Amino acid sequence: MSVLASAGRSPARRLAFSAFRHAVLLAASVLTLGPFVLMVSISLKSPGEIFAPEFSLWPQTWYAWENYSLAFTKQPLLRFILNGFFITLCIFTAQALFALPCAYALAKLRWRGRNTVFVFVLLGLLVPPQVPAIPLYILLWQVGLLDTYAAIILPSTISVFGIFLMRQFFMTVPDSLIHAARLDGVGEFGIVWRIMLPTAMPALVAFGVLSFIWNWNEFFWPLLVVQSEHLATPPLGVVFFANAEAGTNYGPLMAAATAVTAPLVIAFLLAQRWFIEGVTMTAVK
Amino acid sequence: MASVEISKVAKTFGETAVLRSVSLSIEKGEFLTLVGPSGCGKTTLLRIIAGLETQDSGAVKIAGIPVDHLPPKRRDVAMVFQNYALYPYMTVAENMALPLVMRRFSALQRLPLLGRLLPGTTPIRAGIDAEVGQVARSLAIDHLLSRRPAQLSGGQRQRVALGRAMVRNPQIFLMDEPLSNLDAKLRVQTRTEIAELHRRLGATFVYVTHDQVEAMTMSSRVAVMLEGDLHQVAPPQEIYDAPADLAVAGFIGTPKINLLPAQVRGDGAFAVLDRVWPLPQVEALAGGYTLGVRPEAWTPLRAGGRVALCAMGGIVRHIELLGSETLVHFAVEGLQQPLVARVDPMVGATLRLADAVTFGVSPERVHVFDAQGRRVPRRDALEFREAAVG
Amino acid sequence: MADIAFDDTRLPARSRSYRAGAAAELLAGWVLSGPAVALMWLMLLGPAAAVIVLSFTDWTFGARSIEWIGVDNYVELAGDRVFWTSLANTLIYVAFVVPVSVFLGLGMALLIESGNSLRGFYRAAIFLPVTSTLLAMALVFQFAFHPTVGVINRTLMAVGIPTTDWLKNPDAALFALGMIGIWQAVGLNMVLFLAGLKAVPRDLYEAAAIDGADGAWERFRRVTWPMLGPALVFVVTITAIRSFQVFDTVAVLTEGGPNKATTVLLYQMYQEGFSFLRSAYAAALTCVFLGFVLLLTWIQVQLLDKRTHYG
Repeated sequence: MSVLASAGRSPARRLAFSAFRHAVLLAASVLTLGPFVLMVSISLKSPGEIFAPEFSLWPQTWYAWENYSLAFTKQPLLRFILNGFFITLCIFTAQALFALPCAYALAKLRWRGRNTVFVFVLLGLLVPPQVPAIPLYILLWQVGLLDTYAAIILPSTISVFGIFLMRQFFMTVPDSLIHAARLDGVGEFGIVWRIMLPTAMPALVAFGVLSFIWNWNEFFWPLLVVQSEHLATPPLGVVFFANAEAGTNYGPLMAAATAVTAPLVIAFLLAQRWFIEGVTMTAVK
Repeated sequence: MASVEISKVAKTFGETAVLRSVSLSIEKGEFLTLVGPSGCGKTTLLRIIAGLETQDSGAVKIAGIPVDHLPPKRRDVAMVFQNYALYPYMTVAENMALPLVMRRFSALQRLPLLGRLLPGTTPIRAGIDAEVGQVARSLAIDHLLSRRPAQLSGGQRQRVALGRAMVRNPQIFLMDEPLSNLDAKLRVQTRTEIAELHRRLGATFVYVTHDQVEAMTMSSRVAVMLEGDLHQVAPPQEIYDAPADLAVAGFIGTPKINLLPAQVRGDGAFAVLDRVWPLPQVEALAGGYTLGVRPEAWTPLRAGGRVALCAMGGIVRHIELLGSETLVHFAVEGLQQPLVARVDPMVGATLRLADAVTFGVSPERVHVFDAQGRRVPRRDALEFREAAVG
Repeated sequence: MADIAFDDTRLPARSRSYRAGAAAELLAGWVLSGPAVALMWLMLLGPAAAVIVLSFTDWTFGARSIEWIGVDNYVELAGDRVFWTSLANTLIYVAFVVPVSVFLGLGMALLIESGNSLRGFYRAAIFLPVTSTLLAMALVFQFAFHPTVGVINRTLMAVGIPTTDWLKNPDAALFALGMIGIWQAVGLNMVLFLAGLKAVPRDLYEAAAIDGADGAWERFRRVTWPMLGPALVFVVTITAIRSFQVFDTVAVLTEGGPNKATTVLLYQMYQEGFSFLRSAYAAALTCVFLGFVLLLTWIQVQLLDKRTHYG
């Protein structure tokens, strides 16, 4: 028994519905997966074949080595990918370090100013990330940090969404656990790291996944602050690549796109549940 | 008003057999309660009657007509769910009207917006409103008709769920633990109200509960279900006085029935631990038996007083004061568990922990079960035997 | 140590121990949240406030002087043809992406949930675009939209539908970008609806079946749709806000062209602020953008408030 189908229908109708369901969902899957398949397919083809009048998914001449080696040598593609890992890791570490204690204080301590701080968090949730861009750019320019890793990382070190998410999670942790820890002589910092962090692991992992997706894919801000090629994040790197190749050399370009997309897709396939749960968590907003 | 005939219904979920060939006939206008611990299959049986679940084998007839291939709406049953299952986005009036709307309007007339413009809907709507109002008044919820379920108390929601079942005048009311979400005081009150409702409507009620007090107080007959089997179907008092087997005896009654191992000797008397109990009411062959004694069947015997025919001596281990009665737990040599006796508080007050006590029981009040756990019938055979095992 | 402190606070009069505890909690509260609050103001709330202030000045990037000019930037915006074009483009984009992706997301969720086979596969396949790097995928779409060798035109030609140079045709470019937006948004909407569907109590469907509402349409109309109300409001708002932020595809695929046909608010802000260095004017554009996002959130709160008593 489910949302659409009900029990007690005739087998023929049930079969017809099942066929309809699979037909529609299969068509949808083809449309959503199509671009990925196309990307990989083209990354394996020679330029002549890409622009040939007839099209086939499977390359007639195997051109993978040429395309991928060109992608990794023409531009420091590996460097872009490593930059991506380095930047997302720094950002997530900072976000967790700032968000966890704050979320604990908001969820479990009673202090004057708590409501005010929570209002700040809610206000922060209302502001799209592009809004503070201009003043932040000016600020980084003033302190001479433009075109550095710090310029990419610093604005993302605080995540009001992370604070909010962890606060919601901490609210569900029973007070008695904290009271027991206090009676056992654990200080407030100790409570955050020893008691709250382990219980909050599932939420933290989900937030980590979300933070990774956002920051790996972020394009707007790196585009503003990065000029040097060696600092480029993966999406920015792909654009540098496209610009350098005038955007017509599709084989290597798709090879680069494949390489940049691969980490997230592989991570998604390995930890599908976490990805979907993490993204669904945005629904608590 | 209709009868329900269930024959050899079986249902398996994955590996577990939830119902093993259950047969049960429910008479017109009867209040039958399915009682059993959670997971015994009673709710599944109710859902099979409703048509929400399909049995693997066996058949269900309502009013003599096979309904196995009918969807729930064509079975003319109403159901009160454990969590009431009220539509949270509809008002009380809309909740109660829905079954009538679904029956009296055509599919075209039910279309949103457009349906209202079609001719002939106004008188039907007025009729529905009148009937909803009438049922609401009879349940004293007519002042709540424009509220939504979230604005109601638990007891009020319960009445709305009852009302939604009542408006249709169904042949059969199915109730799945309808009182389990109410607090203790309200539960007692609602128990009476549902029993009254049954008398007033005269419809067939099939009621599922794990609470034996509800089963005993409301029903005309009780069906005891344990692990997918019907063990006994009988009026409440008979279930208590003549349990069909050890499992029923152990399930019905609080505190639990006391069980004693016994052997029948050559002369037909029972050897219980170090004592001999003559139980003339049963005819027993030699072998192992289990004797059951309800806590209230024990009477304390004074030292030096007259010697009862059936007695058991022990040491007082624990005394529970319940106000209207006192429970005495006394340990008997040779038994792992202490026995429990329910005595008058005046008597209980004379007892102290570690006192040596002797309790007697009249032979007629001893239940005898054979090695398979089945009740050994009385000689006079006054008991109903049909009840044993479905 | 802990024991002494504990006795010390417990034995004396009640009020004193309460005060001591409260002071400790006040301190702990600020120590634990202080760094986050400071950073929040430095990186988010402060700059957001600064953007508003900046929008009332005449500052250009690198200029030595700054002057308060009141609402002049907004007056200029009102007379700026490009601004009206980009606002209209943004709204058209949102009006295209939101209904289509919400409808498709809901449809996919219902279809997935109404059967048991291949659930996991369909969910993963439709969700995959959500996690993908939009920038890289945009380049794939650029190829797919290629006028002669792109798969889209090849397919259209095969079935005899007239083709166009999608990204170069002013009438088609915005919708081409919208299709990419839909491609990425459907998966998220589907997952959110799936979560909403999971939250619908089963016994409501059963009650409906007994009450006589048991066809697919009646079940959907009497139970699923009203129960999904709050989820729907949320999905529509979040998709609308995300669509308002469309930038990546515009920046790499069309650069606002052809002939401003795909210039959207954020892209114009980017151009004014970082290509033409008119910081204050870009700040005013940011404020308009922020205003629309806040308006959407306000509408969401209003709609959800009405429904909270559903409980």
